[in-house]
Amino acid sequence: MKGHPAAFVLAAAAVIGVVGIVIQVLLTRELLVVFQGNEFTIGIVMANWLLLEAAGALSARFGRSSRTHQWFLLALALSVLSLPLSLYLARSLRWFLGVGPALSLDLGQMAVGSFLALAPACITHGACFTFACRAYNRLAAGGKELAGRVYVWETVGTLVGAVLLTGVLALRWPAFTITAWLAATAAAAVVLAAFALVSTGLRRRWLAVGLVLLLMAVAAVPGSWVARLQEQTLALHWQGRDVLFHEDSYYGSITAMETREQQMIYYDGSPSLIIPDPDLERLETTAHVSLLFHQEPRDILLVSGGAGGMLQEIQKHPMDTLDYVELDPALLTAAARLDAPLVRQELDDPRLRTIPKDGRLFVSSTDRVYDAVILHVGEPSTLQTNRLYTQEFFSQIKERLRPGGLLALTLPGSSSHLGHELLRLNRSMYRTLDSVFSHVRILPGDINVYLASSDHGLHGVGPDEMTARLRERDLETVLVTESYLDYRLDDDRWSRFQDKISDVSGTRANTDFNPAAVYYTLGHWGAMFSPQLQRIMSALDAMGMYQWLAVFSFLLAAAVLWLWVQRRGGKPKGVQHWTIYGAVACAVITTGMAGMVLDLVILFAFQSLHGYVYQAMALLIALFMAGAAVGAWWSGRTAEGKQTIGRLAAVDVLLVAMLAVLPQYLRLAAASPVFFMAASVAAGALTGAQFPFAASCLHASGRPSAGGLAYGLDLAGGWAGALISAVFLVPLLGIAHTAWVIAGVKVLSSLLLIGAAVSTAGHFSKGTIR
Amino acid sequence: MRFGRRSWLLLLVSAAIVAGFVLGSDLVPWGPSDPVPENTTSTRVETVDFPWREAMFYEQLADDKVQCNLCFRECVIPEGERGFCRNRENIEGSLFSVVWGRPSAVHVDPIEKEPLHQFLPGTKIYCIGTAGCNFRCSFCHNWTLSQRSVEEIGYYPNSTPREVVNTVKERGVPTISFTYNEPTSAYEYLYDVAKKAQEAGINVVFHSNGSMSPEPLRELLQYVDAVTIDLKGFTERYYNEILGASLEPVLETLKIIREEGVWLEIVNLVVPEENDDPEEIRAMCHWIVENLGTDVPLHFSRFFPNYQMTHAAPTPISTLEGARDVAKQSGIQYVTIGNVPGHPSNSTECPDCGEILIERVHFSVHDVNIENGQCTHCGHEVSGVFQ
Ligand code: SF4
Ligand SMILES: [Zn+2]
Repeated sequence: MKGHPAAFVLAAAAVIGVVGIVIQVLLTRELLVVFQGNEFTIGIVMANWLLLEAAGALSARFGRSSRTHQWFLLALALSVLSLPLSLYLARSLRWFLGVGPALSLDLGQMAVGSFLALAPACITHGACFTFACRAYNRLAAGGKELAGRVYVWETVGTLVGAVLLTGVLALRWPAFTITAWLAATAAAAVVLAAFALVSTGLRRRWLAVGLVLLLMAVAAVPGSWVARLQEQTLALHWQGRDVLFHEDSYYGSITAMETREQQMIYYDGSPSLIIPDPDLERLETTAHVSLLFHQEPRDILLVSGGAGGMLQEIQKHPMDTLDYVELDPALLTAAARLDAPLVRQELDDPRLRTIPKDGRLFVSSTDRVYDAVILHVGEPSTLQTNRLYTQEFFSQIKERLRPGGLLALTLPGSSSHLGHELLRLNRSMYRTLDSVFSHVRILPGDINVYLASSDHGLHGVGPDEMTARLRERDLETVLVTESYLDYRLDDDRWSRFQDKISDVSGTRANTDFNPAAVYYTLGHWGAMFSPQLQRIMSALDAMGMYQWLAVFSFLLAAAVLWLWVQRRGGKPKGVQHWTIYGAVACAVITTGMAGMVLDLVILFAFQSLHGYVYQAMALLIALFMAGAAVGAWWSGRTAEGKQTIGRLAAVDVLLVAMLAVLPQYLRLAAASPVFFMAASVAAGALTGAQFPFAASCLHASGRPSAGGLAYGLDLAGGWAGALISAVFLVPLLGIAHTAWVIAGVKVLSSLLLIGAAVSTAGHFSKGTIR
Repeated sequence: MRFGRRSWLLLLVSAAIVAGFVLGSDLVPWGPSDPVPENTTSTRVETVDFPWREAMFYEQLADDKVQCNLCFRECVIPEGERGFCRNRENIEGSLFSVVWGRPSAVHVDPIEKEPLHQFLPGTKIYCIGTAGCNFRCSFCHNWTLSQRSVEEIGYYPNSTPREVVNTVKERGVPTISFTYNEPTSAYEYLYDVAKKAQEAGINVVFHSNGSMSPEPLRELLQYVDAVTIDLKGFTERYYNEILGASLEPVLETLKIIREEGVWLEIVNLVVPEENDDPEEIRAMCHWIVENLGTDVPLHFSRFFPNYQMTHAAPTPISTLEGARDVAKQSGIQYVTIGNVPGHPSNSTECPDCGEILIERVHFSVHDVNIENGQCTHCGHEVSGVFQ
């Protein structure tokens, strides 16, 4: 055992990799639930993640090098404790921030909150890795830089962790159970490392520490600890509400609650079912107003939001079949668990066929046709829900409608005054429907009803006809009565609203890759909760892709100019040095940005097209990291000599190409997640390959500690990339244009590099720089 | 080939020129082709032009400051600034109303939507709302109106009091209502419309949070036919924390309206865990009976969060029914439950025989069993305005 202590360090590195990816994905998911956030928040979490990892790595600098091994052990031991701590912080964040469960969080609160929650796990993780490198170097190479091997093993661990997590998520374990296993793994690493790394006297002490931690972690798994923590954080989150049960399903988080006789199920933090007294206005309006528009709806498809009254309302109509697609079967199980007569009855109806499947997947694969398709999804405030409101999905639905068939959906409205933001959302949806269907009708109200059809008959139906159908079908309705229909279809009352909504100029249509409705929905809530930010967003709204590019170019030019001024009176070695230095620095910082944007673009596109990003996230990120490792390894072998800068430029050009074609590629590759994985590897490889080249070039241009500098620049770029793209670019421009803006930025940086390469070619060959 | 510093500069400059040329040309679509229209009503207005109507009920202070005495806030407003409600601006030491003649929402709705249940049931009201409010309720339903200034949301032109009254007369609507936002913040507009309407034989009602100061309130009530007041809770804590306001002035308002003999109805929005304590509701009902009598209709309204977007829970029906029972036990004669379409207590019951006086579902009236102000079943004298 004592013979190969270095091998133990590598094993520990693998464990560090496992821990890193699992906790990252786990915390991201928990934070999103706590924020009721949409996927764009992933960018904020990722940016914080980068910063905190770097802080961990930096903090590792302070250990005295003679004690490296002990520091390494300490960091590992701390990481065991930090995992549950971070999870605890994340899940009770609302309580720490002092924001009740009924209120929305603003961007600042999300940034600060996720920073705090991530800090323990993330800092110790960064420190562990750095100490592992140093420990390995001391043991294996007597000081020679061999950190690469630790990196490789960490990456292997990351991949293993991602695969494991993907499997475990399907088991629906509570987050604390997963974390307990994770902590146990890390504690085992402490024990192993203690065997291998420290001398006899200290070993006993560290072994004891490791074993105690291991025991604690393992004991927590089956014991009441996990349950207690889970419950405690749940209580802190809901702050005094009566929680019946909670479950993390494959697709989301489900919480059932009770207030007196009223039971509610919250899905990802938003109410999705209220019994025994549902929001009747919403249910009746959605179901009956739309179905009364159809002369004889025989076959009906309901996409989402069925259990809890919606099915019952639809079933009141005389029809043959009702297909109900619900993405998350766990939601139906939870609804059944409440054992309400209403839910039991509606799910027992013989005409009902429940299809636990993704709505999009179902619609694109079925060959059934329908008279009416009703979307009852919840506002398009996330990519997950928005995928059921896009042009692409509407086109698929259109294929499945019989002649005379119609699509119905609702959006929030107002009977008194539609605010600017809500108006934009409604316009965007109208525009999207209008781009697919030849006939669209809006029925404004507190709930705006949209009806779309390829048949012009839609426009002819008036309140009299609907009232006749109401009688004919003998519907037992409470709210939808003759007078209500008169009110809802009174052109006098509503024409101003209709005119306003159908005036769509300047509003974007909603597509998979340009999820405008998400941005408009967020804007609506932003206007209420953080009007300042909303004002900034609205101002930026006018900017298209080219304006953004202009801004970035300006920043880049300013940076180069600044460098030039800095160097002007300086070093006698002259022009070449700052030229290379400036060009390479720009390349590194923009690559950091591009890497992060590629990563996010892949994640967002995946969510838009497939809709279960939290399962895929671990794999996609791990593959990106593995790609980066492979890229770095490959380029590390060749990162010396005069061609380096040329190679650097070549990688840059490849990155441009990748950014440019990625959106189209992902759109075409929509059918299979494998293509997304391949894209992750490629994106990682290109990003990773640049690093050794850049460090070598910086070194050659006379920079001391070039590696550290390159690392810092890369980090800064990644951080900025995550924030800018998630907060501004993707919401405002969509996925494709975001990638293209960054491609444009990389074009500029490539030009700089090529220029630098050309201008200094002579010097390289003369050997003045090397 | 060697690139010197100069060549670099040349390269940069030429690149900039080319970039500028390409970006500036029409070849490149610069984002959305036309600007996002900002107007949310009919006319977007950057500045609201003169003439503005001078405000009533304010006093001039030193340094061109003024004090507004219209509501309990009694804002002291420096020259060039506006009061808390965003609607009253100090210009060179005089106070002006910014929203006079500038409504931002105008619709014809059933009077039940107000809610006003015992005032011409089944008729229509011509509703007017402006920007601005002197409260800051966390769950405001009309925040796009109430928490914005008139410049931000725009207004309908051609809406002077005379024009409004003419339109209403033409359309044959019997009643004008100031609602949606807080009418106090549009006081002079309401006042002038009410005066004109009275001359033209049109009723005027308004729905308010009850925070108007006594003097302006009495002045206004001479021209008003009915008022709905939100008594949103019965603790100072609730008024302070959730509404950013104060309870005392509201109670004062209720008493004054009653004293002046104007028809009054009260709405209480029951928010779970905020103001749903039965003891609080009991205290409120006792206060009502003691200070206003037993025949002021009281409506308990179900709170509904904006669906799918917030964690908040809707009010359980049993909470509302409990509140109704408490109110009836306290002696209040007419108690209804709103915002629960189809609930039996949407309808008004006869306090004597228990039969239905006015049958309602949500906002629609299905049956009225009142003749000459009396219950058709037992002859009970029903308070309210029915002709
Ligand atoms: S009416 Fe407006 S300006 Fe006057 S005191 Fe009240 S809030 Fe202040
Ligand atoms: Zn009677």
